[in-house]
Amino acid sequence: MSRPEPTAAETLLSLRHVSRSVPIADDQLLTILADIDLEVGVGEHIGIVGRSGTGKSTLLNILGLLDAPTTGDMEFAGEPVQKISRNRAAAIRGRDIGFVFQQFNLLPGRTAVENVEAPLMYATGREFRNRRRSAEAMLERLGLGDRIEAKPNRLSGGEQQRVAIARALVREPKLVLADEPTGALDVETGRQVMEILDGITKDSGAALITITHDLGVANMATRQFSLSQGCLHPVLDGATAEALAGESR
Amino acid sequence: MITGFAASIVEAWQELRVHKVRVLMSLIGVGVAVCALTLVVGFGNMMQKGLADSYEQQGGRAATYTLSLNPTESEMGESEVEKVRSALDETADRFGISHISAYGQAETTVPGPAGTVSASMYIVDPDFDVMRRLSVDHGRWFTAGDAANLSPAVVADETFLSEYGIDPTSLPATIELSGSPKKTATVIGSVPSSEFQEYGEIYVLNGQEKQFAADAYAVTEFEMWVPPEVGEELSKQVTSDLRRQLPGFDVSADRTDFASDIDETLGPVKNVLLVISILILFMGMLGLLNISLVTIQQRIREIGIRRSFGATSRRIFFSVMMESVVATTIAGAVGVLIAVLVLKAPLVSEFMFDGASTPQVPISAAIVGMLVSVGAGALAGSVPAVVATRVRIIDAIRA
Repeated sequence: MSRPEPTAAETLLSLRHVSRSVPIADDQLLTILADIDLEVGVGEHIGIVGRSGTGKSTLLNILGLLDAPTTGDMEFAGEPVQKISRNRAAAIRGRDIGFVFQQFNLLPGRTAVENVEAPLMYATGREFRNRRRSAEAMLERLGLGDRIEAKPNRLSGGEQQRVAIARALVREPKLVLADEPTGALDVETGRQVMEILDGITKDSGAALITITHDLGVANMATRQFSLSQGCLHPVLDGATAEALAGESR
Repeated sequence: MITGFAASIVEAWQELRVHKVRVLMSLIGVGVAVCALTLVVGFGNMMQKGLADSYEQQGGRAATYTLSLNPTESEMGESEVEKVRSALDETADRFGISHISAYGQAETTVPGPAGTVSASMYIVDPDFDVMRRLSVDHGRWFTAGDAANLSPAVVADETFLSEYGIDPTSLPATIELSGSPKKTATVIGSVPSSEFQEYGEIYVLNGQEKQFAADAYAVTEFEMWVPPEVGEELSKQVTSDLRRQLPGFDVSADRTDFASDIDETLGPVKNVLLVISILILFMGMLGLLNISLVTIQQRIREIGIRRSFGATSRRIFFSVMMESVVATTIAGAVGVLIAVLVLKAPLVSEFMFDGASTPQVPISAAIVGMLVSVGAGALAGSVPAVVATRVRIIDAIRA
């Protein structure tokens, strides 16, 4: 497998020969990811496509330090992270990684601004003290300045995902991981949300990795990969139906 | 560290605000339990204080020793009285005893405007009011200078004053004494009447008793109020010293206050009430724990989301526990407030103490109530907090 080169000058995240397997019945191992090589540059936008059950979410969990690889090496901002403690992973996640989920995963009962300031509860010093101001500013930036006191059940799907994006970006992370960010939205709203996500991560200099089965969403990225049967393949001519099926090489 | 603590409080408060109905329902049990516990502690302390006041009025404060000084071969004449007084003064100075008083009793009658008024007469010294917790409602208690008054000073209870026809608010007042030639005394103060006294009571200074009752014997018993921790040893030394000074006297000292009876009287009642309160508290905690455990299962996704923000296991544990602590603290404060209002209610005072004594609501009851609230919250919160830390982040986010 050829190692895809990052387009950006500086590497933010690198995976070398990463695999992930889980034990199943009869002491057997199920390999979900096999020999993954990936380098992501600072500020780069990567799109990863793949059908259901190909290991997309497992890969995202590993990229987001929510899960650890079974084998292989992994670095984040120059720091080996494949075997770090859960507390260290939590610290890196809190400071440098933002998540956007398919189902938005907003905290129920909290207003938009409370949701956006939630990650800042784990910050310290001035960042913690100014959390409300930062959250409001981020919501303004995403065009939700008039919705800051609205609770999730009073927001449309697109608005909820914008709140989720604001929450992912409020601590100015180095990496944003988006798991099917348009999966729960209609086509037009999904396109608008992706434009916002792409634009705002570019503006803030954060790298964006989008995992999706939506080819249009994947093609907004500067580089695309397809994930098939646990293996990651670069897609050189844009994501296509063949790439989604894992037939593109 | 401070930021983490502050953030946990903020998170806990948000959680309580969002789920106020659930929280309210789960906390009713805790609030009731804390209220009950505070009531028991409060009632117990108030009853103890009320009983202590009553016992101290009857038998003196802890520790009161009664010194019996009886001449072995003669009556208690004037020279003996003088010897005793001098010996007691010297002993009190030597051992630093600040409160010492004669204590004698006799029956007397005085001719009142509407007929003879009978009274129990107590022969005392000026320290007696402090030693027996006597509170003067009107006028004043004795001073050392009253011994020199030609018209002897009297402090009378309300019953005596009522029978004699004196309005306590108009004190001082003159009363006529029995005997010839005609003599008078001055009532300088009034004290509340004892509950079960048949007659009125008057207090007169030691040495002036014969002016009120010609057949009254000179006082041979004296009370001294000393620190309980040194009382026994001190009483032995005082006895020894008085024997040295008073040859020909039979000298003895016995502890005569009722302090040790209070625990015997109230101990079992307090213990039973305390056990009942702890059981109520335990049930309240179980209810809270039950609801918290169910709730935490419903909040797994939220916990997963927070972990994705960078929340550590420790932080999740602390936040979930703080939710419980903040909630029970609020419930406890409400419970304590209700308990204090109940304890201060005039109806309760009337029922508990017959309105005669109204001890203050003890601050210790409120402190115990609040500490128990915080402790119950921490205990009931720690189990769901442990469950929350064991949630797998990936499963939680997808829950």
